[in-house]
Amino acid sequence: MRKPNANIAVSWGSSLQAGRCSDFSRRRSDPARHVLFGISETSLAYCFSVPIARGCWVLERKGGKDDNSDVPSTSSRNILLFLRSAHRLLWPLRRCLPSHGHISKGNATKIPFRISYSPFLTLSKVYACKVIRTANLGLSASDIEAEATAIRAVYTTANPYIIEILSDWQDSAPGGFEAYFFVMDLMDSSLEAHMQTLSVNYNYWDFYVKAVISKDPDVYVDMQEILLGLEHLHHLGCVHRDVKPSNGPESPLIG
Amino acid sequence: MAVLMLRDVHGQFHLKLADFGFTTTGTPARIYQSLQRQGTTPYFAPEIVLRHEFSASGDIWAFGCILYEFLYCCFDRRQAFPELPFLASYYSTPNMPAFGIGWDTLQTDPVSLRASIVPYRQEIERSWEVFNGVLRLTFKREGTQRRDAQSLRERMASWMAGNPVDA
Repeated sequence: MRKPNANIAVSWGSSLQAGRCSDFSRRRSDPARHVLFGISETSLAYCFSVPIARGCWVLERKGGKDDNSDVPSTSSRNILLFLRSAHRLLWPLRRCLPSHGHISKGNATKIPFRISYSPFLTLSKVYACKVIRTANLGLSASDIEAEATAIRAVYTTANPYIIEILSDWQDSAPGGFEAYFFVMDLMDSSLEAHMQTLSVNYNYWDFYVKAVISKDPDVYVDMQEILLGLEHLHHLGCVHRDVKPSNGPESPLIG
Repeated sequence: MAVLMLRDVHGQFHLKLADFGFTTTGTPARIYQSLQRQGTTPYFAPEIVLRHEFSASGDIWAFGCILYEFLYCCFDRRQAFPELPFLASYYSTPNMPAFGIGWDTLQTDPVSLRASIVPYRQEIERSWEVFNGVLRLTFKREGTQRRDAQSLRERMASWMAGNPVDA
């Protein structure tokens, strides 16, 4: 179920910071209705779409003011200025603005950014972008290529129990930043967050009783879905190697 | 973020696998030896821990870990499966509720009584039997002894439909 990516143009944070807005023109031939702003220097990035000239997502760097190592170019500086001014304007209202939940962070990676709030939530859609930065993994080129092949093989086969990818590409930048990018839907929650919610809301016995005796046992359905996904994966000849409920959810994106 | 949830149009959550950053291709029966132990440590199968062998059965073990966490609300698989002593020094021991929910314990628990579980005794014991059967199929020491995902799923479905648990 591969969606056409004709209406998605991509810009990611490193290019914004490094003064390259090249990915705006990445698919210039396609009429882009959404621009995905990503923020990444690590293996997982947030991407958030902006209907062009209609709304914006505001980002805030976690590192603080003193991290001014990046000198953006004129065009990207304009964008950043716009984002920052919107940020300053809307910061007092941040508690009133809608949240879009959590996203988990990847294995052994840190996310230096967070999306602080979204002033135009209804106008735009949030995506998640997985960035596999090849230099960080310390793997050989053949390993990286094998993994990318596996990821593509997994994603290009439609299966309702495997997350679908909306766009993928490989990119490299001066400075040795080479990465694979995989844009996918931002999921509502993770299994681990669900389990934590359950264990908080119910005590041990309550949870046990609820989970087991309900007429439509959630545990059974969940496990069947995981098994269906794994079955498809193994049928493709892929080994996931990292099955787990989730990593801990990232701190709340708002507030 | 390996298993994520997506809410569909009816408000129901569905699980999807994600995070294929460590995925490899090949035949499922093939065993990959990797010097790097990638992945999430507590979900590693014993052959990954001991011999760094990645195969499809390692995914099955990790699935069993997820099911275990769902059932027992804890992470320590030693309490439920004391026949796994080989990992005793490997897994940590956080404070966990005591294992061993028997029907007697459940009956005397005030919360359970409040929930009036008594009419559901059959279903509770049945589900418990099924899930523990799946766990027994999953937590095999050798990867070759574990069932693959399809047969595990089919067995689980047939047990849930009422066939005797023969694990």
